[in-house]
Amino acid sequence: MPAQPSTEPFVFPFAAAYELRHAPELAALRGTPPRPMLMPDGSPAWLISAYEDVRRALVDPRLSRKAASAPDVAQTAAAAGLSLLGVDAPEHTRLRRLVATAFTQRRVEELRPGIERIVAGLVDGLCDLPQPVDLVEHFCRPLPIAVICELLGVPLADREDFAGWSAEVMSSMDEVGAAIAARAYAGIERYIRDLIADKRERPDGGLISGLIVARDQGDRLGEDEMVSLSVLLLLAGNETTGSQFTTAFALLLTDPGLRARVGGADMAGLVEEILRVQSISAIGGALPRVALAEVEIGGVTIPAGSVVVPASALANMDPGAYPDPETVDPARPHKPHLSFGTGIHHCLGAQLARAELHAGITGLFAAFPELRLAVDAAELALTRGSVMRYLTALPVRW
Amino acid sequence: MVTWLVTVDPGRCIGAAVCVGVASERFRLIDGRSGPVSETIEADESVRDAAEMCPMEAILVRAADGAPIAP
Repeated sequence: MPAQPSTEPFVFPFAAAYELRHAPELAALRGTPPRPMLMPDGSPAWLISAYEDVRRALVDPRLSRKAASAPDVAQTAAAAGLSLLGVDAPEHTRLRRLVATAFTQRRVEELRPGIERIVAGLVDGLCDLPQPVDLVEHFCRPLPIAVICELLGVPLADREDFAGWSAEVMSSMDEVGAAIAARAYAGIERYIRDLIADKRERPDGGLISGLIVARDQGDRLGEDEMVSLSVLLLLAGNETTGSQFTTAFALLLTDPGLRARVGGADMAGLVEEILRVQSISAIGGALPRVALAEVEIGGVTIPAGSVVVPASALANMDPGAYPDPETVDPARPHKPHLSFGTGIHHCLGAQLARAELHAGITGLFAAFPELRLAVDAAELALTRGSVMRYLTALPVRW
Repeated sequence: MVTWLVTVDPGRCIGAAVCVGVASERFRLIDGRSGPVSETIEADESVRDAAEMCPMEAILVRAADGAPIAP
């Protein structure tokens, strides 16, 4: 007999995500069958938390991102309905194929020397600053911004124009946040439209110029699709990896055992484990879906029309999938974590993010072997109210 | 009827499962790595899409005579 869900929707402990290490109230939800929950705005949804259930939910075409991006469904980020994130196949396939080749492992390998150059430049810049230095402002944030700007052909000098909007778009956990996010989104969209107009006159080798060619010469996407895809690439390319760096360094700077493994033979495994235990999502994991039909997951029947939350951050900590899930073990057997999602919406920039984390973490600790926190570890706090998990400041000395 | 040959390089596959999302009848994940449900299939555009969307370029689609189709 399949497990019966409790009928009373429970209030998901969203605030618990803002702890650096997994809070007990989240630990209680690991590996459990699907159950009714409430979204931040109080609307009903279904929580999927077990590893195999989340994996199955994320590849199920009946669980729609497009339907979840309709205005009447609980929104957790202004960017949630954006471009690739807000469409299903076959629309999604057409758009993703336009950009997929720019983010393959092979392309990322070609970008790696450029990433290492950016890391070296930031390290040089740190040396000139009076200590303590804020690692977030001077390393975690500028690194992915420089990488994505180069890839897209966005002038790095415009950073002041879009960096503020970019952070605000993610701050929509309540109504006030949603209004700020909507205004910020309008700002960044305007910026991208102007940039596209400029690149139509002066094309370069960047990905935005590539999209303009696909639009103007191949008619493979609409004008609005091109704009929203460009906005997505710029936002996703910097907010995600930048946030990930902050929790990665917070973890490494408070755990000497882990830090000793940086730059070692299992560095790739260490990056995977950091990605697994430090999800950047403050909303449980992947963006919500809407069931287009009745769906059975983990022995539980979820009615058509339900909002479904595939909580990949909880799935990553499911003891059934990862024994002793709190332990960061770079030598774990191969088991793909779900921090990048899986299926058609698997993070387009996953390989790029891995390369940036690898180069950034290795490069910083190699340059500053004495790197340490300039504040008490207990003072480190994640920023509250954003859909992303990150620290606003990380003061260090060396 | 046109026959295609589909293989997944297990040394490259990382289990992102974009292919399983795009062509769920054609690919399945075993122990965290993808493989074709059948290596010989009727021509299927969703399999071509899967090969061209694979971040690792781990999927190879060939015609019956071995000529590459995707990626």
